[in-house]
Amino acid sequence: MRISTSNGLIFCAIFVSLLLTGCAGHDMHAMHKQMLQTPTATTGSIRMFHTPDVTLINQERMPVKLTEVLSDERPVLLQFVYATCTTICPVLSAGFSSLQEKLSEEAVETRFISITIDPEHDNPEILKRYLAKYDAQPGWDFLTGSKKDIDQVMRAFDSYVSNKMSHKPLTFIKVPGESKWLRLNGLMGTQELYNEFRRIHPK
Amino acid sequence: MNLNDLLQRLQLVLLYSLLLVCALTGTAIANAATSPTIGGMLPEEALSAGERMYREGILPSGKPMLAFVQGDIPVKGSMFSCESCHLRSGLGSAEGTRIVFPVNAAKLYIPLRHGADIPITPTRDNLSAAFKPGEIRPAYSDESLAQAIWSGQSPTGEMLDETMPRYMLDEAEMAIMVYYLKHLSATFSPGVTDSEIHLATVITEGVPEAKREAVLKTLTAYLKVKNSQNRPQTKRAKRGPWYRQQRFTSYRHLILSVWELTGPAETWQQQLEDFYAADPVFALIGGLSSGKWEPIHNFCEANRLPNIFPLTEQPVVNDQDWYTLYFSKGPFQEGEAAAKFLRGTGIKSTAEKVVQLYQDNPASKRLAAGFSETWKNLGQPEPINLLINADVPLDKAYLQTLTDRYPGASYLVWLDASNFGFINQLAAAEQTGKLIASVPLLGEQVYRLAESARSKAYFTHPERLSENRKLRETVVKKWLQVHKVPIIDMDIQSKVYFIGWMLSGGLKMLSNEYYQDYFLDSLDMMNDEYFSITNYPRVSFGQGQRYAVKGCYIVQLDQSIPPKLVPKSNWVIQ
Repeated sequence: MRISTSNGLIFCAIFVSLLLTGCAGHDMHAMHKQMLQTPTATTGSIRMFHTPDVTLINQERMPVKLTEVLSDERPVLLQFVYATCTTICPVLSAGFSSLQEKLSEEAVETRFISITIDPEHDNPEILKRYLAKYDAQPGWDFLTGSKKDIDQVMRAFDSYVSNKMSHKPLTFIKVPGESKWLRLNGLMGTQELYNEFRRIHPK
Repeated sequence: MNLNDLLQRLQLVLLYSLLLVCALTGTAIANAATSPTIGGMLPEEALSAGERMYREGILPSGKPMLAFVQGDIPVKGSMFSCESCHLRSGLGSAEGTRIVFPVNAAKLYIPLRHGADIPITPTRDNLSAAFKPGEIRPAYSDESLAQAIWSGQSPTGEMLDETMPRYMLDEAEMAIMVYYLKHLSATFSPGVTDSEIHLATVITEGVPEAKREAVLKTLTAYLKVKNSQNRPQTKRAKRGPWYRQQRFTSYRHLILSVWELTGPAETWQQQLEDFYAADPVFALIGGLSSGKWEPIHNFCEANRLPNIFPLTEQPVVNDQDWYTLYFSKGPFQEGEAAAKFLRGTGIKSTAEKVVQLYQDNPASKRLAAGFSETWKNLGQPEPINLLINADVPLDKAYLQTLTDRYPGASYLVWLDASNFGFINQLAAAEQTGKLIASVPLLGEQVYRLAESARSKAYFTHPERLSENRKLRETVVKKWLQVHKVPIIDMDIQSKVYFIGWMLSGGLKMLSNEYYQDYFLDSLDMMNDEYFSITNYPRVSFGQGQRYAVKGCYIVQLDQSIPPKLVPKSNWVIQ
């Protein structure tokens, strides 16, 4: 078979990428090792997100207009989770539970919103049981909706993943009067999340 | 959770932890593991109590386990448990960038290495350090395992990621926990040898021969393809790079047995036990029943034997059982969709009556049960349920009685095709509100619905709409042709094609960890499927989700000639 110059370049590229793939196998294990040793650092950024005009439903089957609930006069914290998630969502939700308790002790009225990324499984009854497990108090809603609407919301918040198992541990915080969100990527302890909250919403 | 209680408990646990570290001989835990009692319990009781701790996060006292995660988030076992992240098998999971390491006995008590944990020959001594297999941690002992669960300290002396909770267990509770982990996925499950995986499919008596052939010929063809070694796995295992050996050594020849059940359903359990004793299998694949599936479901549950995607119209519907993964809840799911749809159209007051007509057969009764249960969960009053026995004449007089007695009522009409004339008349009657019937029960009859009835009549349609399934059906047909399988029943054969697809994916995910629980854990972690499934728009998975198909359309006939079924709802109705 005659190989043209361009084909040759392609073969070279494939060869190099195959080599890299081999290295990736090694890198993957190095990552595992590193994860055993060091906690993943949280990264944060201030971002503008345009909330899509969709109506979701909460754990009580009440319709919730997302633009309204996210422009609440109270500070808003938002997370994307799902009920049968392993690892990330249980820790995110436990963090919400703990922070809600801490802020309620300080009498800070705050709106907690969890949005499912598995809307076809997570119906309102499942959401209600999930919130009860995490001792959610009034002010914390868990929303579901059509897959199309949920995908739209995830895209709007730069959180879209085609496979729910690939999602990131994201928390979004917005304070009254601000249009921008603090976007946090990482699993955090209560105090760390509280500090981030207080950074944009001081006492 | 009371913070003071937590702190007191934490102090207590730290004290225990300190005592344990001081007593480096490790007598407490080691003795617990070797003495007749474990944490004050007999071995069998300790296993059961440990399983409850691991799966449900509940202590032997009945109280939830307590822990701290991410340093300072207090968590109760009722929020999440060991199983939530390490999965039922203990083999761990991967979620986003988070890798959860295995905690099963076979992995904990050997060193954790990157790359293969099988002997490497040659030893690759001449490679640079980055390419050599290496040790991440030494093997756990009972003492170091307890220490890791208490304080997060790994046997290397380094701290585990803070996402691993630090559990506040007393000494007896820890002994039980460690004892359970020492028995969790300790040895491979039945049905796996060094070279073979034994599987079975269950076919019950009374199944039409054509359907039986459709299942067996397609499944056999799929296994033949899998066994053909079109990617020479055994050769690769010998010659491949060391870091892939673990994956390639997972290759096994698949052997399929057919377990044919005969006689009354009450005798099936014994028959299944006899089959399983004579031919221990790793999993039941597919299966076909003309009636009940419950005896097979219960057998799998009792023996912790996975069964993926049996073809049955009578799946067991509950949210506790674990070992059978169904396509859907069947007719029950259609009833659920009808209730949610009707509720969404604004039917909610007690003044607007809802009447449900059903017959004394499993499909009709399951449709009615699905509707009633969901309708009740939606906060609605019990519908008027009318059982239509053979002695109830579905004639004009009965129609008049119904419309007189329940003027303006909406109807759920779970009647079969032989009663289509009555359904037509009821839908067309002026006093009738909305009417919902079932496409699977009525079949092609639905296209004969009178034009005057089309605006009020809806149907449950639990599959992909026909115009959207042609492309996928073509793919399956081509596959059948290539593999010389006669086209017998496309509905069944496209489902079996999908089962083969999932079997391949599930076995690949297993790598060479042949534990029955991990097979289901692996399927739970699969991506949503859109393209490999002909019969449904989408199937999806998740930890413990046992009905992969989540939706059911509500459709109506449009005014085109010939009329078409058009969706009036999303695939999944909330």
